[in-house]
Parts: sequence; C-alpha cells; structure tokens
Amino acid sequence: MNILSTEFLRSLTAESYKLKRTPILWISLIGGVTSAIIVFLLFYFLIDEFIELNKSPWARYYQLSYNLMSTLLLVPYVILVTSTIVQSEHNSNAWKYLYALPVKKGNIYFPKLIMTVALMGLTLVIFFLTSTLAGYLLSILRPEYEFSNYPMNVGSWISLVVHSFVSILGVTAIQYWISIRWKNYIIPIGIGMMGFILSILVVGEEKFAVFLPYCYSMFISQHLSFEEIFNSGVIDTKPFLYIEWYSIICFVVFSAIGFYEQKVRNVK
Amino acid sequence: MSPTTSVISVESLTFGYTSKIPILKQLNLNVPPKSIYGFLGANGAGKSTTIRSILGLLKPQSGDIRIFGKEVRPNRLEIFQKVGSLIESPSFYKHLSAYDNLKISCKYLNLPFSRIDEVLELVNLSKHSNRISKEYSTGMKQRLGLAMALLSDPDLLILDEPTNGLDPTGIIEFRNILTHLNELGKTIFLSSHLLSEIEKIASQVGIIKNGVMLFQGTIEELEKFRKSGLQVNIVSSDAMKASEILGSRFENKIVGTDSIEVALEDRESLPDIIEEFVKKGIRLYEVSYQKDDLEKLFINLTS
Repeated sequence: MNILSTEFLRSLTAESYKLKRTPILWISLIGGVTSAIIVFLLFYFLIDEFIELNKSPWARYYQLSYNLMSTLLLVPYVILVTSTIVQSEHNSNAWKYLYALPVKKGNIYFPKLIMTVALMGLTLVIFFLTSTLAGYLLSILRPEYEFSNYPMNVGSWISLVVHSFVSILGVTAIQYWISIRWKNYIIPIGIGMMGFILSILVVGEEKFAVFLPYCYSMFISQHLSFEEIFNSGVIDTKPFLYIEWYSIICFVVFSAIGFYEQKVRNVK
Repeated sequence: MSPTTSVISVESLTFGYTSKIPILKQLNLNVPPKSIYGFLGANGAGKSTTIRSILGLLKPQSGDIRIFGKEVRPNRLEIFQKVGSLIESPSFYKHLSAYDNLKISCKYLNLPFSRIDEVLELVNLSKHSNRISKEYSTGMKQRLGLAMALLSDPDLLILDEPTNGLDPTGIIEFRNILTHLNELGKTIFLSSHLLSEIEKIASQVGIIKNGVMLFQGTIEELEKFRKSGLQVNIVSSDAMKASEILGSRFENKIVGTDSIEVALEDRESLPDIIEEFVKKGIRLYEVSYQKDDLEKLFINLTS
C-alpha cells in the first residue's frame, strides 16, 4: 500500500512539473479573479441597481458573484482546463512512453485527474479569496450602504464555494474521460459546450436537469436563498443536496469507465 | 535460441486492429543478449506494430511475447524497470526544456535528479539542457528521446526508427552512441527501413514484410545468403540470340535493347557462357556483376 501511495505521489509531482510554462495556472488564476472583478465593478458603479433598503447588501453581493461563477464561468472553465491538460499529453505523443514505464496505469491516469480537480479547487479558492476581499473593499469604499450593519458571513460563503466544487466533480470526470479518449480536442470542447448550452435550457426542469451533470452547478445556484443564508448563516441544502451526490457518483463512475478504457485500449 | 536465453522472444505473434485484417502474422523473433538487433522492413511492414506489441501497448490476438524470459503483459512493472524505449517520434513535452522533461521521467522512475546530467552527457545534450525542447533540431529531439529511454540505465533498449529524419552527421553521432551503449553491455533492438543503417551497426538482423518475418539471423548469415546467387549483366550485339542460347539452362531476361541479365549459381559458369557466345558470333561489349549489395537484397526480400 505504501509503495502504491508513494508512486501515486511521485506521479502527482510529475504532473505538477508538467504545468511549468503552460497557461494552465494563469487560466486558473484568471478563472478565479474574473468574477470578483466584474461583480466588484458592477457594485461600485451601479450599486443602487442591486441593493434594496433594509436587506443585507452581502446577500446581493454574494448572490451575484455566485451566480456569475457557477452559471456562466465554472463549467466552460472545467471544459477548457481539462482539455488543455490532457491535450498536452496527446501533443507530446506521451501515452506510448508513459504506458511503457514501470508505473501502474492507475498511477498515470488518476494523478492527472486529481491534478485537474485540484486546479478546479485552486480556481475556487482564488474565487473565494478575491470575492471576499472585493466585498470587504466595497464595504469600506461604500460605507453609506451599511454593509457593516449586516454580518459578512464568510463561513457561509466558504460552504457555498465548497458546494460549487462538489457540483462540478461529475462534469470534470466526464470531460477528462472524453479528452483522453479523443485526440482531437475539438471533440471534448464540442461535447462540453453542447452539454453547457443544453444545461442552460434544462436547468429549470428538474426532471431533466438531474440527468445532465453539466447543469449541476447552475442548478444549485438556482436553489439557494441568499437572503436567508446571509441573514441566518444557515444553508438549507435540502433542495439540492441529492444533486451533489449525483455529481460524486458521476465522478466515480466516469473515472472508473475512463480508467478501464485506458487499461485495455491499444495504445497507437 | 531458446526463449529463456533470449532478451526478447516473440512466438507466433498475430495482431490486427480488427481480427479480419491481421497486420502481424505468426511472427517469430529472438533477440540474443548483448546484441544489436536490426529490425528491418519497409514503411507499413509491421515494425512499429511489432514493437508496440512487445512493449505491451497493443494486445495481440495470439502469440507469446517475453522479455528477459518473462511474459510481458502480466509482468510489465517488473520488466519495464530494465527496458528503455523510444517509439517513433519521441514523447516529450515541447514546452519544457530537456532538463525539465527528464525531471518528469525521474519522478515516474523514482530516480535522483543527478541521473539527468549523466544521461544528457551520454547523448551530448548537456549544453542545451535548459533550452525549450520545441526549439531543438530533429537530431536533438531524437537524442532527448534516447536520454529519456536511458534514464533508468536499462539492460534493453527498444528503439523504433531512431534515426528517422536525421541528417548524415546526426545519424553517425546516433550510431556512435548506440555502439558505445552496446559496449557497456546493453542489448539494443532497433528498427529501420534503411538497410544501410542496420548493416553498419547490427550484429543480428530480422527482416519483416507484410507482417511476416522473412529472414532472421546474424549479419554474416545475411551476407552468406546474399552471396548464394549471382546476377550478371551482359551487353552484346544480339541480346535476343544470347537469351535463346542460354535457354532454360540459366534463368535470364532481356533488359533494354542490347543486354540480358543472367542468374548464376556460381561464377565458374561465367567463362563458359562467354566462350559459347563468342563461338556463336555474338559480340560482347560488357560483362559485369550486378551490384547486388545488401540494399538490393533488401529490395528483393521486401518488395
């Protein structure tokens, strides 16, 4: 077991070396910062459009940040990062080399997947930090809107970001699988964008939305009551928790399918 | 040679991406220890497919593939500790330097980074180790691929068309490196579609065509095989008549307007033929041995 885990960690380190001089870390950074900047600017210049009297300005601020991230940015970002990471192996003709190394195939396949997931996590951490910071800045720059009269509830904000993270696990495993399966990156990007567009159409229809992992992060953001969350500090997860379980199941199933396919396929 | 003493032994290997169209047919192959084995074949003959099967990258329909006497697929982790491979275009990350690429390989192979300088030295790439590999010449890219294959100090090197795309200087340099490695006791299995490449370096030769092994043996055996038949070209005043005279005694054919090609078992028959031609009034302008070097044999064997 020890040998397995050290090999896994070595392989994970190798994955991190591969990121050097690639745009992937920049994409992660930009992916995390974009939403904070946009929402900050919107609030700074058009604050009257967003804030209602006697209601928590934090709720509105975080709602806009969260919706922008999980509805518009997150899934395209997953599609982009996953394809970019896997494409670098295709471009380097790396599979034939990697699979002729004395390394278990699982320790090639999974560290890369974990690295991809970690990058999603990194983006969300950056998103969390920058949006919190921007919110704090806003409360100082716009004291007249009484941010200080309401709790900022950073704890709730963290849990919301974590929910967001769990919701994209399924789609990450799917995109990872198809990115490895097809050398032509147009295919994973095309399928991904189709899934994304479809999810905009079906997100309101729960009976369809549950079958489309591309839709999960969007679905959750639509089933959150920010007003309630930021007043009470409690998130009512009942309407969407099962979607997160679906996301996790989807992650496990598609990782397994993808790995099995890698294990038995002919490496051309 | 029995399978246990061969470094690579392949028996009755049959492979096809679809079972109806086999690319390799009942292929047998034996690589003796510490040899340089040249695996020859035209493009599309099945060389890469054979190599990928040996490395367990392809799953054959049938056949037995062993490296160091052990079946490859179930023992790949153990076997690959001692095997370095370079298959066609080398697999490295173009956005990284040679050094960074080798760092990645070191991590996978659980080797100290100190090993990187040693292999870079071995393949003459030390000076360029920090340049981005995208900018490398074809020769440098091949050498980086070789460095990656050499990292684990393997006993067996499997190289698929390693000199493809190299200029003559690059080829000579690459050959010198391989000879040096062989002197260090490594078994080298390399494929090529150029016989001239193989004959300069290999001690063993295997020739494949359409997925079938046509010849396998030492380079001396190949030489002997080549000398067993002679081709003579005779330019005369009457090629037609000359051909008639030889009739069925010697296999021959008319080439162009005035010459015939004759196949002889041994050279002793040549003076007799010349004498006979002269007696029958045929004027001879030129009698020459066909340039029947390995290159030609290769064409004979594989076309």
